[in-house]
Amino acid sequence: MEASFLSSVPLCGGNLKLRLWDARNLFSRKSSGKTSSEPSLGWRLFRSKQAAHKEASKAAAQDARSKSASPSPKSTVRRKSTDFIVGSTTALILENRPTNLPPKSAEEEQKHREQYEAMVEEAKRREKKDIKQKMMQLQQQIKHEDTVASAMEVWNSEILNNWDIMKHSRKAQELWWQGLPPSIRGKVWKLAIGNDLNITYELYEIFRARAKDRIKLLCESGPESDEDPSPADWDRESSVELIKLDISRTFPHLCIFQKEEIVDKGTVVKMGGPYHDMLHGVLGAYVCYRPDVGYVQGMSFLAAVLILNMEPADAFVCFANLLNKPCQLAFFRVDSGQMKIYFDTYEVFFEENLPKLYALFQKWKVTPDLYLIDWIFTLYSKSLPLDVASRVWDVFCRDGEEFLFRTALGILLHYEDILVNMDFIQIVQFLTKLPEVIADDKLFQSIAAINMQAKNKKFKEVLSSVKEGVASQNADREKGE
Amino acid sequence: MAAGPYNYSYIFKYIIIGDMGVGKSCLLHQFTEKKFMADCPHTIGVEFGTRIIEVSGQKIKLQIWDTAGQERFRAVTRSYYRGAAGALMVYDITRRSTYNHLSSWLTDARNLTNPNTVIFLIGNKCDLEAQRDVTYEEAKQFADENGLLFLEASAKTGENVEEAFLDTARKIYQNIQDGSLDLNAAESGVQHKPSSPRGTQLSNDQPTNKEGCAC
Repeated sequence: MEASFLSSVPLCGGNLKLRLWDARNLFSRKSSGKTSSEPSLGWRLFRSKQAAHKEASKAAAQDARSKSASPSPKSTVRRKSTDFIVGSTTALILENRPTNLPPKSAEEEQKHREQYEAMVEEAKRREKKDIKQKMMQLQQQIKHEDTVASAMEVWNSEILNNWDIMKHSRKAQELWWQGLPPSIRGKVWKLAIGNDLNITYELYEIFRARAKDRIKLLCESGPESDEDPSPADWDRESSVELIKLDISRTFPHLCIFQKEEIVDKGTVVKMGGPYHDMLHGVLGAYVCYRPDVGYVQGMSFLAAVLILNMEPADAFVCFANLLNKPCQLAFFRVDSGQMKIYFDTYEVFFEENLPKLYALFQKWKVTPDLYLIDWIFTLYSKSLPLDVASRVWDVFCRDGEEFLFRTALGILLHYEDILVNMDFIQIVQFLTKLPEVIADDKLFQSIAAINMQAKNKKFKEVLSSVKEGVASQNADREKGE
Repeated sequence: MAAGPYNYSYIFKYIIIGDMGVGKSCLLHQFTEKKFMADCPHTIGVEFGTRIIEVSGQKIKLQIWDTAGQERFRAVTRSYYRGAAGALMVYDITRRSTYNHLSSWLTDARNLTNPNTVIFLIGNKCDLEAQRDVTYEEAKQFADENGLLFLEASAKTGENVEEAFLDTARKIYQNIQDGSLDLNAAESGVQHKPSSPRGTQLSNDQPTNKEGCAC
């Protein structure tokens, strides 16, 4: 009891600050000055869903309370001070023995005193050990921060200003695998994704304005009332309209993309929302830029992750170029044939790397489409914790589409011991809702263990041979007809 | 009662379909967790939920497939209908367009499942009476004309959610009892004394009490 009392107080304050510092730096946005007006943003990003939710509802409730003009600061203050009062037996032992009890013998008294001293000793020892452990954690944290800082230094001084030459260097490639320092993440993604489409900021502004007009028009004419129910019509062209359905359902626990008014006991409480308009802008502009693709569910997660790391105009450029990559184009057009080619290719590497699990999945008929669709569409940003997903994005930018499938196999390997004991429904439930806490280092060790050579063929080669196989099958069928 | 190590004697496969944003995942979550999830991220592809219920003294495990609602995803989600014993078709009573699209959803449900699949129409968000855009009467008429079970429900308050899921199971069970649903037929969507969900024989199924929701 005493040990817990002694050790419960000292370091937690410092630790908290440290975590806050770390979290803020994970997603620092460049210079826009917005961070100062949203002090709790970075802090919110990396807590569990429930915690963030609690915080949000607490804030909302407090806001509501202050609006209803009956603030009760006293109660909060009192509650806080009691947090530190922990019951202790010390006083009891030092107290004189109550007179109504028979006196202890000297021998017993001596024994009790020794026992008491031993307890105190033990408590002190444990406290020291605890402090030592915390110091070690702190040192590790500092070491980690130092690594990030020195990595950032290398990125800034050696790699970024010499991108085309340095990007393939061993040094850059190795640093890249470790995860990009958050402050340069956006920069590296932008360079790596590139701009083959030659999209300018002006183009973004033009399409953003067009999307705005369109939404305004739709709002005025009330598109929902007498809409033609033909399926073609309620997709693509009108998909600008669909965006708003999804924006508030994008990273809902972060409370920054939402713009809904939540009514709490008659008081309207605005929730979050600083990034709502940015996200709407980027997605709306894209739909006007690529009406043939339109808005497809999953896009809002991609745009949101980009917006968290760069300015909206850059996010748009990256978004459009990212979606123009073959794998993304196949999936976002929901081109079943093309998707199947990717799934079949994936299964070649699945069987090669995890034969036991592959056989189990075959037995239960757990097909890749049941869990891979969500992972590929959102590049893991919906299914993995955001910091882990960001690291997946880092290496995806380095290695391209094959890394998405390598990550999937890494996840399966990481959880293989759990998965082998599951049946169909347990497997698909597990994979479509991965644990909320995943240690990125462990996961990346599993990903690294996945061999992306199957029968001496690389991913690209397997992909093209699967493609050829499909093409020749189709040709045979046509001949047959 | 339950055979061997299993604590249920049937598995029924359900599929939830309907336009995006009508509240499919929220209905599932309300049914499996008895809670309203205000901040439910939208579904991409498919998610899953399970719950064990009791009908006429028989324990039944519901295996629920919750699909993405966007039209574009139908190319993918159509393959999930196969072998569903029950289909919950959801629209939003505050958005008429979601009601207008029902005939298209119904066509898919009829074409892609077996003739005995029980289709239940749910008008969700009935707590938002002020924003109502589809009357109860017209939806009821649509349901009657097409031989569908129908209820208005609210994933938010929980109203009629239990009923919709349970009534569907009762109807399926009734079909088994009166022999109109042949358990041996492929794709009946029902498995007696649990075998593998999609065909093969089951060896190590260990149903647990902690049936999570994939919402």
